[in-house]
Amino acid sequence: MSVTISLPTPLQRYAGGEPELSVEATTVGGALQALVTSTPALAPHLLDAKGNVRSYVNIYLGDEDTRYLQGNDTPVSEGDRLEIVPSIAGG
Amino acid sequence: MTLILTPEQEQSIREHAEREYPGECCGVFVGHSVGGANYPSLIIPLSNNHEDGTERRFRILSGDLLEVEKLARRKKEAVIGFYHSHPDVPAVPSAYDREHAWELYSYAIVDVDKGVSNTLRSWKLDITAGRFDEENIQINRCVLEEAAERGLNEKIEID
Repeated sequence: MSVTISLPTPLQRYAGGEPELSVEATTVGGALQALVTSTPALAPHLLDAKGNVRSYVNIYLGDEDTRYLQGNDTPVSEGDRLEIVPSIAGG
Repeated sequence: MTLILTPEQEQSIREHAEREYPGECCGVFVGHSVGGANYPSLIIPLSNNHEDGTERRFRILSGDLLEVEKLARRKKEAVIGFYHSHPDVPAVPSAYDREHAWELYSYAIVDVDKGVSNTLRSWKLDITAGRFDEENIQINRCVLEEAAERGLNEKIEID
């Protein structure tokens, strides 16, 4: 399945300035693995040493946070868009 | 490094900060980055949803930021930064700000002294050095014209 992954501003520089990339995958986890395989510079910013999505990164499929779906096992369909949304906090 | 704001945008940040006092306000900048300068075309106040309370911390819900990202994409712009307030504390990033910051975003902070907005400053994370560097804030009524002169190819529209 061809899936589009939208990158937030801070991560675009690791993808040649591209705001979105397309990958082939059948699950959210597969899409993220395909993303870091094609664009290795993104890996440390998205995944920990065990390959899990870092806590300060949120992955949305449509309007749904994939943490509350099936996580990396969430299936994706042709034409789906995954949004990488950074956690923003401070004070 | 510069953050370019109109007088109205600056005022909207100050008013938001004063409304939320003694809590912290927070919001997002949507616009363009050109030549190291960030040009917000839209400033969106957002809800502070920090789990530890809002008087010393802020957190933007990822779902709220998702909607802003979608809006930015429709406008052919980008999320270029955020603002928040420091009630009765200087407008200087804290260690907590540093721990949660991302590079390239402008982080504007306004301190609110006993309910009245005071100094507005802006910062960008130097991820290599592990510190914030202060950026200039220009209050400029001719934001759009200046951005166009710097080479933007698309018309910028303010909602």
